[in-house]
This record gives sequence, structure tokens and C-alpha cells, in this order.
Amino acid sequence: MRQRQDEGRTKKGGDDAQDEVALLMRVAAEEMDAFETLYRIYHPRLQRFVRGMTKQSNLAEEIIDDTMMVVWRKAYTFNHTAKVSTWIFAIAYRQSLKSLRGIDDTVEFDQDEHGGTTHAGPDDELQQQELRQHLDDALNRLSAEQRAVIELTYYFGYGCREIAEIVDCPVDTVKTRMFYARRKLKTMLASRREAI
Amino acid sequence: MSGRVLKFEGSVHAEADRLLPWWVNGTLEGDEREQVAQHLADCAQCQREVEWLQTLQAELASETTASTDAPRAMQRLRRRMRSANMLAQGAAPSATAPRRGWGRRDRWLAWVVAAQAVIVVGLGGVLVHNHQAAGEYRTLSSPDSHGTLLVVTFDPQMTEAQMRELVRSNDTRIVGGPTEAGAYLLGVSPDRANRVRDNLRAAHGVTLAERMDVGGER
Repeated sequence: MRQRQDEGRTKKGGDDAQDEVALLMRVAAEEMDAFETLYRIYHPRLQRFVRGMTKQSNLAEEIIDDTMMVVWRKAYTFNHTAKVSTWIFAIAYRQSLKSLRGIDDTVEFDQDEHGGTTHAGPDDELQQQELRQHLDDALNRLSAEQRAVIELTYYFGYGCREIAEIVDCPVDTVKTRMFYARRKLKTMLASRREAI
Repeated sequence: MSGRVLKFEGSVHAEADRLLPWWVNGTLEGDEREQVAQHLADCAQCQREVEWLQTLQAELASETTASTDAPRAMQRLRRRMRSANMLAQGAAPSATAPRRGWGRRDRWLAWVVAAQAVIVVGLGGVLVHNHQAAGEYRTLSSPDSHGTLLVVTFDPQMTEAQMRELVRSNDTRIVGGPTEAGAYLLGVSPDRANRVRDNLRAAHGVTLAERMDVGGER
């Protein structure tokens, strides 16, 4: 939660949001130092979001670069009624989908990212690791669009209307997407528990 | 009251259930928040769901992501941007000078060229129309009659009324444009040109404001 508050968007004060707008305007004027500052601010958040959404850690850095290159090129088109974070996440969402489509939209389980081996430890730690592993497996079986909604809600703390802006669809679609994602996760986690 | 609740009991539960993720992350507001709070007080199923969602949220939030070395990642990005001709060769990491192939100055020059094209077209139009309606297009005819010219582009989201107000409040006039690329020419007296340009640059909704007459001046 702490990390979410540090990295999330809603916890940032209005001043920070204004700073980000000012920073983006400087990027629009092609000031490289402003672009680097924006990159430093957004890199951890984008890394988390893109990895969480695509489950392809090997693609994540390239997608982040693609996203930031669009930010560099399109900063001057920024609509001042939106938040900078919403605008950048929307670009990252589209770039992630584009990249996944480029690999036939098949999102395979990335063994390296999840360790593959389970380390021995105290019982509760082991239990926690198992839960983590089951959750990862279940998340891997969702669609990238569903994972994006889950990441944006539970990790970044976005409201459903802002998520609708990011993924560019009606709010009801976001709610429905989340509803099915939850149901699928719950079913998969329950079946894993029964299997053990 | 009970009739209304009974009538919509099913959909109230379904709607509240769909909103639970945002109840858990604390972003629900107004009626939706009120609706979920009321429903949660009586619905054991939704209360259990909230507990499960809180566990899920805690689990996702505790997940750490191995962070890449940001400076190194920035170096790699800069290399990519250079190879895509977005940056000039050999740009320093924090160079403030324009450095990509189509840099700020180049873009400014492009606007000047575009604006000059507007003027040429305007002059042509005046020559033709002088025979028919003298003076009708005079405002487009001669840059001199407007003092200094500024090339300005506006945010596409800006309304016409906002644009007009901005032009009027700076005591300037649109004398050309929009070009195909959306640039306008504003006429302003030479002694106020820099001040108006700076005001426009600082104004909300202005994406570019440059003088046409002074190449290097910013």
C-alpha cells in the first residue's frame, strides 16, 4: 500500500499535478532535461503497469521506451483537461496492446519472472509464496485488458472513470471487465486451493 | 420506500457488487459511494466480497517489481531516439539546445515558411479581389500594416470563443490562418511584439508563439 501511495496518482497533491503539467509543457518545447525528469518520475510506474498488464517482462522496457517516445513527440497535443498521468498511462496501454498484438496476442506464462522455483522457508512464508504464485498464475490467464483494469484499480488506485479514460472505453465496460476478471480470478484461485 | 428497494433489490445488489473494487480502493464518490455503503450494511455476500478484494489488493500492492536502472534505461532510450532521428547526433544528456532533426528552431522556421505561404496566398487573393471589392481583404494583404507578425498555434481543444478572448485581451488581431497545420498569424505593434509573444506563450492553450521578423530572438 505504501508503494501504491508513493507511486499512485490520486495521492499526489494538486501542486504535483501542476508541476507535471509544467514539465510536460517543457517537454513539448523539446527540453531534454524536462523529458529526463518526466522519465525518471514515470519509469517505475510504467514498469509496474506494463509488466502487470502484459506479463512479458522482456517486452516491458521496449514498450516503456515506445511510450516515452510518443510522449516526446505528442506532448504538444496534451489536453489540459486531463491529468498528465492519465494521458501517459493511456499511451502505455495502447503501446502495450500494440506490442502484444505484434506477438499474436498470446500471453504466455513467463517462468523467469516468477522464479520458477519455490524456496523453502517458514510455513507462513511458504503459504504466502503459494498464494502469490497462484495469484500470478490466475492473472496470467486473464486478458491483457482485464489485467490492465486490475492493475490500475488495485495497485495504482484509479477510479473507474479515470480507467475508462485510460483504456478509452465507456465506464460500464470497465465495470463489466472488472466483474468478469474478479469472477475468473476467484474461480481459478478456488480450484487451485481444492486441488492442493 | 420499501417498494422501491424491493423493486430494484436485484439490480441494487448487482450494481453495488460491480462497484466494490472501487469501494475498496477508496475512489467511489457521491451517489455511488452512498449506494454501496447502504447496501454493504445489509448484504453479507458483499461484505465477504469486500474482504476478499482487500486481500487481493494487499497482495497486488505488496508485489515488488525489480526496478531497472533508470539512468541506464534513459541512455538506451536516448540512443533509440537518436537512431529514429528524433535527436541530433551527439546530444548531451541534458542539452537545452534543440537537437533533433526537426528541432524547435526548425519547427519555428517551418511555421515561418508556412506563414509566409499564407501571406503569399493572401497577397494573391488581394490582387484578385482588389478589382472586385477593394479593401475587403486588406487585413491579409500586407504584413507592414499590422506591424510585427506572430506565428501562433493553439491547443486543438481550445474553443473559438477562448481563442478570440485571448487574441482580444492581448490587443492583437488575427491577420492570417489557420494554415493546413493550424497556425495563425497575429498582427501586433512592434513595440509590444515581445510582450504579447511572451503573454501568449504563458497563456493556457497556446502551444507555440514566435515572432516572424526576428530569426534568433526567443
